[in-house]
Amino acid sequence: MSIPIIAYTPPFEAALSRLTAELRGSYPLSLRSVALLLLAGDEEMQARVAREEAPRAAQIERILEEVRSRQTAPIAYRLAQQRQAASRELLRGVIRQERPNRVHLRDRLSRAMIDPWTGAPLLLAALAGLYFFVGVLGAQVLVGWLESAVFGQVLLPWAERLTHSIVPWTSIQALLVGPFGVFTLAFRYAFAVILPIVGTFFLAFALIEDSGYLPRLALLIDRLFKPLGLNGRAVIPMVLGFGCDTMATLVTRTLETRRERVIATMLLALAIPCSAQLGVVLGILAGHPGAVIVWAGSAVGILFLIGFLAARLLPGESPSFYMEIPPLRTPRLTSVILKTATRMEWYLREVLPMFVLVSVALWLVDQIGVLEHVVRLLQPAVRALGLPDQTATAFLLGFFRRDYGAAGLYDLRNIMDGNQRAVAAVTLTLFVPCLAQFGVMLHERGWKTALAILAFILPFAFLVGWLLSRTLAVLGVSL
Amino acid sequence: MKCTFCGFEFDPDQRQACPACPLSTNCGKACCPRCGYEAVRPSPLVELVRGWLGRGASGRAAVPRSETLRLSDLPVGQQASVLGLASTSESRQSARLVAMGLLPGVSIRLLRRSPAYVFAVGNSQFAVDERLAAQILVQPEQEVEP
Repeated sequence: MSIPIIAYTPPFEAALSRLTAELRGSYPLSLRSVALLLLAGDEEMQARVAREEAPRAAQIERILEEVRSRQTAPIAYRLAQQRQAASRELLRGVIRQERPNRVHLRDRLSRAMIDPWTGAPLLLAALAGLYFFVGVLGAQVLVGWLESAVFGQVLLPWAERLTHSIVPWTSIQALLVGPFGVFTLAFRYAFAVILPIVGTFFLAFALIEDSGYLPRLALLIDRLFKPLGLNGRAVIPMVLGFGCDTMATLVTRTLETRRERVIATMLLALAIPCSAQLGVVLGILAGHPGAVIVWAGSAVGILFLIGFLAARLLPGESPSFYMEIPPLRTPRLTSVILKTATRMEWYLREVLPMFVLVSVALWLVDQIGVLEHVVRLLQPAVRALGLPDQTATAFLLGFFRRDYGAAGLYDLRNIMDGNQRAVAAVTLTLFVPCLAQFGVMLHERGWKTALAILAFILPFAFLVGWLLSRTLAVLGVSL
Repeated sequence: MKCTFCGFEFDPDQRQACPACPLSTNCGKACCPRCGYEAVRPSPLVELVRGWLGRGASGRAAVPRSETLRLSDLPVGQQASVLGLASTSESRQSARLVAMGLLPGVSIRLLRRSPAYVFAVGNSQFAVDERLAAQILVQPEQEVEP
């Protein structure tokens, strides 16, 4: 038997040897480690010991209870304290540390990011930078070039010619290059509309992530999130949601309580537009600054209103916030690029099959003529919002992928006026999560919660759209 | 309140020091009955303004050594050593605090209290909210660093 490095105080040592004497099962750790985990109240080890030592469970519990009753502080705390003392003893005389007295630029920057007075303007500046990089460079310049020059003039005509020369049947031609064709819809949306937006977003996000800004943002935002039943930690899934809500819904796992996870999942599904959607929505609203303000104001207002109500209605303990604040670092270019590339690859693997599937499904529905019926069902709702009938198709597509729906709406932007654009953008932002996000919601939150969220969002999105269009009409505003 | 000059505890509403003064009914100041030193009476507005100036409850004079405080009451910048946790229950919260290395004898320094409590322990910095900060008991070690 090896000699333990740390000798704990006599009461603990006595308990440890009594416990190890009771342990007969097989464990991947030494019996002493098992006994220590039991003392520290490790849940996983307790469950395992209960299985392995069933006949002696009562005796083991009695020993633990005896130790606990004699301690004034949690045992885990006492053990950690003794370990720390032992490690300090080991390091004494071996390590020397000099404390630099100079305040570095990065310390000052860090302080400025945290302080509400300087942090808020810095956050706005970061968001503005993000908007110009993703919203303007990605969603307008790159998308415009890829869509009209690369796809519109080179790839699509070529695909059309090829298809028409090889395939004689019109319905199969439509499957490939028709209005819902795999080339015209799936490939064009995936590569020309979505990829540049998501790519620029992932690049910007990797830079922000590697600089160490996110924990500081969490700290800055903590008090703002508390009334929503969330803590500062939730800033990470929320910001990620602006990239992809599906990914963000997965990341809500990092939140501690179920209550927080449910609230965050719902807010992501409701009020946080993903990067593709955001880019396209901003594209639709471009040139109508009033509409941008109405859209952003509605989304933020609803985020806080619904979060506040959810925090009131959902039972459970309010969250507590704690987080390590790592030092600020200059991001390493290679790791930023690598990370962006991996995420883009992940995204393509994720969406391309989905896009192809959706466009095949749409083609099928279109061929048998069901699509018109489904669209017709949505049309009264769309008309009530004062929107053109064609937007019904875009909303329907929105369920298959949010970005898909937004991109469909983008095609319709020229037949809508400012008010209609604002109403359409708000409704689409709130409207159902995409199929992938809903799948993740089912998986992460269970079908009851996921369906409840969906059942709330569907009518709510149209209700808000209707209220907005009424309000704008009554006030006589034209955006 | 406590006189900021001599440390005498007194009730500012009794106004023993200023019966003759005609302004005393609504006066925003309080005089120490022992030394006569004039200080601003605590009020929500005063605390708010102090908070803006970054010297709310925090910026007051350094707390004398050997007094047990919650981390949330420690003045910003003052070195202290951790005494332990306010609650003795075996909970998720205490596990978190242990994970941050907040063990008795470890030295700790509060860096800021707004928008959240940020403190330095060893070579790391952590942020916690008020509820957790109130769980950490500390003992001040030395004067506030400039």
